Formats: sequence, structure tokens, C-alpha cells
Amino acid sequence: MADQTPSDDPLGNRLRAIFAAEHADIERHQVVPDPATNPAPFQKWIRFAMATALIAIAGFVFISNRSNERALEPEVAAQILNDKMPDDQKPTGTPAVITRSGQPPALLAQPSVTERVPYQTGVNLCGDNYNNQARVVLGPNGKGAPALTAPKAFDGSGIAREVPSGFVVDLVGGCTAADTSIGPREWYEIQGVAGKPTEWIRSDYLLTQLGPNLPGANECGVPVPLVAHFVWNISASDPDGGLVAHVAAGVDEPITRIIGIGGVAIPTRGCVLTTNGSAWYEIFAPDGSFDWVNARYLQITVQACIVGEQFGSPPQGAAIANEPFSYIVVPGDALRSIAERYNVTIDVLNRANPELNGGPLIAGALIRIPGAATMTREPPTGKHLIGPINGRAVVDGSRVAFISSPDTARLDPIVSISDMFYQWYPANGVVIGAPCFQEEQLRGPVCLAGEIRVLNLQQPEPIWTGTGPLTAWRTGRIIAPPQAPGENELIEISILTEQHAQLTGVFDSSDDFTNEHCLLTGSDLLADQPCTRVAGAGPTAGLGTNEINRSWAAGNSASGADHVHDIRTESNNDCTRIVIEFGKGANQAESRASVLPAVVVDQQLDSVRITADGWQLHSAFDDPDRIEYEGGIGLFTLTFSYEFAVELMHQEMEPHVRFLNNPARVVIDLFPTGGADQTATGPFGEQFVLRGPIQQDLSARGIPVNNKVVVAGFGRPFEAAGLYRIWAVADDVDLNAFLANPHAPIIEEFFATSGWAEAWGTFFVDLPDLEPGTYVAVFGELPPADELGFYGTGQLFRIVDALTEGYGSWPKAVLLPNVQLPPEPFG
Amino acid sequence: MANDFERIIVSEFEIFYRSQFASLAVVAGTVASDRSAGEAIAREALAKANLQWAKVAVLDKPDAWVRRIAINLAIGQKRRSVNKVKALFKVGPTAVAIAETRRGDPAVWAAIDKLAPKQRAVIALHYLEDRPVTEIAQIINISVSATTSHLHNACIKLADMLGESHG
Repeated sequence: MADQTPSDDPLGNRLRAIFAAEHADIERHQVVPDPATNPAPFQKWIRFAMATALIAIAGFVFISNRSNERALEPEVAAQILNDKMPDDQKPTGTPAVITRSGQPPALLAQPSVTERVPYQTGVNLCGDNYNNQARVVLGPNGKGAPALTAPKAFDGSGIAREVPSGFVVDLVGGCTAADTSIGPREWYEIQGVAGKPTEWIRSDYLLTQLGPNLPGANECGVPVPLVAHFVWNISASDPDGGLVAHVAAGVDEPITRIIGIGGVAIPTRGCVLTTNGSAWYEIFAPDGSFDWVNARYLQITVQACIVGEQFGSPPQGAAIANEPFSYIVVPGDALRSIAERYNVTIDVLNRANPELNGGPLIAGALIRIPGAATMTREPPTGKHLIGPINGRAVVDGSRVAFISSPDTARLDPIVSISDMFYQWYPANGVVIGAPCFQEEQLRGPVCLAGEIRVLNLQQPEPIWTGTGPLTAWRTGRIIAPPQAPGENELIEISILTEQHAQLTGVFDSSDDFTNEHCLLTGSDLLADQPCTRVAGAGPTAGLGTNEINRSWAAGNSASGADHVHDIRTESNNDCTRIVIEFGKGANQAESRASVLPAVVVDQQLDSVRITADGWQLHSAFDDPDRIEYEGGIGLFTLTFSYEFAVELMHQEMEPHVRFLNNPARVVIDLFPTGGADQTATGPFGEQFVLRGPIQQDLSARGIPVNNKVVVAGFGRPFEAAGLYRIWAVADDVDLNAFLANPHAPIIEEFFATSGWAEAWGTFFVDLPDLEPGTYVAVFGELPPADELGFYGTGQLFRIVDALTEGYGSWPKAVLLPNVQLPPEPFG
Repeated sequence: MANDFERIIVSEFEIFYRSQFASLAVVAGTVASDRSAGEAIAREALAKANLQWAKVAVLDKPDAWVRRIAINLAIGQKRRSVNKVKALFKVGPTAVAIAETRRGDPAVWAAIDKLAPKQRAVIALHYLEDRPVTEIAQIINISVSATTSHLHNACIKLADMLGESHG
């Protein structure tokens, strides 16, 4: 019992002893680094765990004091922990720790530039490992860095040389702390040029030496420049607060850190394509090691011309006083203090930010500050930079990050990486201007905040005005080159609004861009204009000239993958569509047009995946010409032949399907748009949808089941596996009765959902072969408590011996969305 | 090394996760008679907490909530005789490459493994975390008298198996 003392309860003593030993062992393996024996990724995890364990202890204080609702600063948490930590558990071996707050530490003894500093190989005088002595210079903005004759605040003097970005320098072990204009920084001693004394360079300008892939394409064959990538496409309400980095590609854990929304990651060029088709990049970690993130959430910085006011000051001027704007939560903020600062009530803030939902206020999060008629402003503080800034920049909400530009470089280090997050309050709107861009740099998305005005210079009023955040998708396609010297080229830019309405226009690369004008010459700017077909490669008799139609030579009918001959996206000014073409010879050899590959179209139009396995369809719809669905899975049963086009309007992700000529079978699978869809939603919000149902592999004798079942779901970082069960049922099974009281399944296994951080993902399930018979399968997840039962998306299907029983006599697949099985009693 | 490239955003849940994991893993591992399974269950239970963090965080005892989830998962795991750990290992490496062998006297662990699942849960919550019977009853969602009975019977069994007196 709790009041028993060790002396009078021998059994209790033994129990406490083993539990304590077990607990200590698990905890020790998480928090105690052992650099001598553990491999590098493990070291990294240990470091992270150590830091977070510090934070965890502090967290008790934080949680117990939740009423304050204050965002916690990591350093504060670490300090709290350090105070509480027994001396024998405190980290050691870091004699010169640079603190970011408070007074800068006293400088170490200044080494003479002509006297080599004794050092221990691999560990410098600050206790940092430096990886075989070599580091690559990246510089503050990827532009290289000055090497000084001695560590000191950079005032333009004492420069031994400018070390270009990508240059490899040898560390010689010296390390010291020195003040810079942005606070204390570590300086590393590096080997000077031949015959010259050693030099000093700021440690945060250095990266661990890159592999042999530098420079060039990464290991996935994708050019990934060594510039900062931003974390994007993660919703601000993401419970993780940003992108989760892992020790390896495609795994759920160990998690090394969370990179905040808008945070910066720098790829090493390491890349792995996981089995689900997503690319993972290896990136540099703050501790000099590496970790991995899903590249879909990384956005390379792009150049943009931005006219605005920035650098940490409150909004200026009456013109925007009543406008809503965004605010970045900083450590120490409380909802009340924010409300008071901007003269609004807490209730107003809560209404404007429903995602807060009473939850914790997280440093770095964006919250919306509604406009207030009597809003008061603090006097401006900080440095203002007003005017065009041609830099590598990404605007995310109200944040502007400047990475590198000729104009800002001269401001370094005053405007350096450490200062790259700015509050940004556009006073003059946002201008994206061609003069900043080269063609190659125009590609890709960019987020725009503030007011966007699309102007036709021949009209007095803007054609379109929107407020951020917006996503502009810059195709970079030059529609028309300059017709004569001095004339402007026309560049296609597409703007996707917050409501997913898409405006695509052709922008003139006029100098007017820098004067807040964007010339729009396109004529198709109406958001609700239907998608217009784009001329295809070759018209076919009976089809309009705008119809997509291609004929292809017969494919290899033995291979399901060969049935699809072309799949691509095409865009015009109004929409993007996906065109899928099947070969004429798709099924000739076996005369089984019922077998065609599943075509899975992801929400992201650039992510089209074709599975190599075919499947049968269970139902047909009457309209042979055009079918529209509100959402979910559309299944189409068509007759023979092989030419058709599938077009998807980008707007609202509404599928439009048109069968052009004796179509074959096709599956269009989109994410649900809400309402009654085919998605199974569990009691805790997990969603699953069966995108590639179970099917029999009819290309083989006997009873093998096609072993790739595609399940889509909402993957979360901590979820390692989904669950599926398969029951053998009677051919004439009463589904309702069965699902109300299912017997024991014949198969119960897990399937991986890894690799997707807080996003929809596609998961592939390997099924074993099944004997002929009728089955019910459910794919989903067990809720945390058994009393809630098992839910998911399911399928009723039959496996037959195709060679003896024939085929097609029975509806092979019946989808069962939203299966909710009854609770199971504890055993 | 000082580095300005990254900002770590510390969420309240992350703090909770790190503070709870080890104890939760021991409790779940004790119930599941499997250390690795205990860790997996602890992660899963904390994942559930993460999904509903806005609700869980405001509970009086979020640690009790997550223990109930973990214990239910651990009991369910044994019942289903599905080695989820194996599946999780298929998916990817675990958080820490710890030894499979549980620490401490193997004879005591062997004796604990022979208890009923809820008795194991009661033992772990009481002797690992020093939780009073009333709190254990809340976590396991049984009555205080049933909890007391579980604890008493478990101790009698353990004392018998280990040749110890039970004070």
C-alpha cells in the first residue's frame, strides 16, 4: 500500500525495485546520450530526447499552471529543468555554452592567430563535434561568409577572405564566443589559405560536410539547391505545430524535432523515395547531424519583388487600422495580453480563431486579430525597410522571410538569418513582379499575404482584388516573348484564392510591377467559368477539335501497368485536368475488359499514381456520357474500347468525366468534398476510404488475391499502423446482421500508415491469398477504448476460381463505407 | 552549437508526451507482459491524447486518462493475441533501441506475468507510481472495493509465488 514502508513490506520492496529499474532503463535510454557506443542517428535522437526531457520536466510546471495559458519558450523550459535536475544527470562537457538570452557569456581566452590551439580531435574547445574537421560554408544567406583574422563583431574590418558558399574548410579545433552585432556567437577556427595563419568564422555559417552528391541532383534525381526550404502546407492548427522530422525517411519514429510552420530546412541532397511514393529529404539538423522530412511539406524559397513595410513594427497608418491581420504568438504571450495590446476582447479573439478551441497557445502560431474601430497602435519600434526588396522571399501569412538578396546582403549581419522572421504589414499591397524573376525561378507556388491587386493598365480600377493569404501558382510559362525591343513578355501566373477559386492570368513583365501594377492581359478571369477543353495531340473523327484523343499501340496485356499509356495534367487558363489514356490493346488477349488498372488521382494534381494492379468494378451508372459526383469514389462500368479522357476541374476538386468513344473502365477517385461520401470517419476523427478495393488476380490460375489494396486515410505522425480484419461469410450473408455481431475474423493484421505527417495519405495493404469464398473486410483502426468498437471502411467481395467458375456472374465488390462494428468485451 | 536556423515550437502536448512516456510504457508493458508492446502502447495511447488534446488537456488528470487508454489497449492486445509490436516493427524503427529484456529480478517479472491483466495493472499503478487505490479505481474504471480486492489478491499470489511475506 502507499503508506507501506520498504522495511515492513519485502514484497512491495521487490515490486518497487523492478518497476523502478524498468522505468529508469526506459527513461535512461531516452535521455542519456552515449556518444561512444551509439550510431549517429541514435545520438541525434538522444540529444533531442534529452532536450525534450528537460522541457518535459518543466512541462509539469507549465501544465500545472495552465490557467496562465502562456506560450513557453524552450530555453525557459530547459532552464527550469536544469534547476531541477540532479547534478549527476546534467549534461557535461560543454564548457562554453552560448546562451541566447540574458548576458552574453564571458569570452574565452582569445587565442593568438599565430598560435595553434590545442584540441582534441573531433571535439573543439566549445565541446562541439565537428565531423572529421571539415565543414562546408553556407554563410548567413547561402552566400558564403567572411573569415576573419580574429573572432569579433563584424564591422567590415579584419576580413582574411570571403569564403564562398559550398566551400569546404578545415576546422582546426579552436572555438570561442564573441559578440557580434546580433549577440554572442560561437566562432570556429579554420585552416587559412596555404601559408597563412588560421582564420575564424562564425559557427552558424558552417554546415557539416556534405556527401559526394554536392552539387547536383539529389539522390532521387531531383535538383535540390542548397538554399533554405520553408515548411509550408501544414495547417496552422496542426497539433504538432509544424513539420515533424524523423531520424530516417518514411518512418514514424523516432521523431527528432518539429520544425515550425515557416521554419527553415536545408536539404543535404539526400533523398529517399518511400514505398508510398513520397519523397523524403535529408536535411541538416541544428546539432550538426541530419534528419529527414517528407519533402511534400517543403517549399523552396523563390524570388519575389515585395513592396511593403516590415521588420517587427505594429501596423502603421489609419488605412489598415480597421483591417484584420495576423499575429505570431511569441513565448510569453497570453491571449489576454494580445487582446489588450490590440484593443479587442478575448471573446473576439476566440471567435476569430476557432481553431484555438480553448487549447494551448503555441509559440509560433498565427492567430487572427480582427479589426477594431477604436484600435490603438503602439508606436513603431525597430527598423523599417520600406521599398522594393528583391530577395529570396516567401510570404506566409503575416510573416516575411528574407534569405538572400543583393539588396539585403549589405545589411548583413543586421538583417541576418536570426532576424529573418518579420512581422509584415503591407502598406502598399503586394506586388509580384517579373523583373525579379528569371524564367526558371517563376515556377512553383508562393504564398502571398496582404492585398493582391490585379490591374489592367487600360482600366482605372483593379480587375480583381483579394486579400491574403493566397496561393499563387506560378507556372513560369512565357506566353509571348517580347515582340520588339523594349516590349514586355507575357508570363502566365495563376492565383488560387483561399476559397480555391482559381484565377489565371497572363502578366506582363512590365517594369510597372515595381510600381505596384500588374498588367493582366488574359480574358478568362472569371472564377466560375467552366473548364474549357484544350486541344489535344490529334483530333479524331467525330470529336471536336478541342477533344483530347490519342491512340496508342497495343500494350502488353499481361501487365496491368501497361494498360495505361499516358497520364498527364494539362492546364488552360481556367482549370487543370488530368488526362488518362488507355491503350487499345489493353485487354485484347484475354478478352477481359473488366480488368483495368486502378487509377488513383490524388488531391494534388502533380501527384498522380497508378497502381500496377487491376480491379473489378461493382456498379455502373446510367449516364454514359457525363457523370458528376458530389464527392467520394466514383465507379464507372463501361464497355470495351480504350479511348477516353478524364478531366477534372481544379475548382472545388469536382470530377467531371466524359467518355469519348466506347470507353473501357476507369476509376476516378477523389478526395471527398464533404457531406455524404464514401469516407469512414471514426469516433476520433480518423478517416479511411477504400480507394483500391480488394480484387482477385485473374491473370493467375487458382485463387491468388491481388495483394495491393489501396486505403487512403488521414495519417498522423504518431500513428504507426492501421488495422484490417477479414471475415469469411456465407455467400448469402445478411450484411446488417453480420456487422451487428461479427464472429472471429480469419485475418487480423496491421498495415503501415507511416510517412504521412498530418495529412491524407495513401496506404498499401498486402493481402494473403484467399480460398474461393465470400468475405467481408474492414480497414480502419481500433479506437483507444474497446467499448467503442472497430470502425473503418469495408468491402464485401467474393473470390472465385476464375478458370472453373467463370467470371462476372456476381458483383465482385461491394463497398461498405462507415462500418462500425460493435464493442468487444474485455477478455 | 548556437544555431539560428530553427525554432523549436514547444507544444503543451509535446511536454506531456515526454513526461508521461516512460511510466506509461512500464504500466502498459506490465499489463501486456511485453516491454516492447508497452512502449508501442504508450505511444499509441499518447497519440490518442494528441488527437483530442484540446479536450484531454483540460481534464483534471490527463495522466489518468491516458493510462486508462493504455491499460485498455494492453488488455485488448493480449486478448486479440495479435502482436502489434511486430507490425509496428515492420513499419519502422522504434523510438529507442532498448533491450527486450525487462530490468530487475526476472523471477518477480515472471510472477507478475502470471497475474490477471487487471491485477497487473493495479500492481503497476500502485508500486510504480504510488497511486492510491481510489485513483487506480478511477483509471481502471472499476469500483474502489474491486480495486482493493485486485490489489490484495495480486499481492497474495505474488507473495506465494515468490516465497515472500506480504505485509
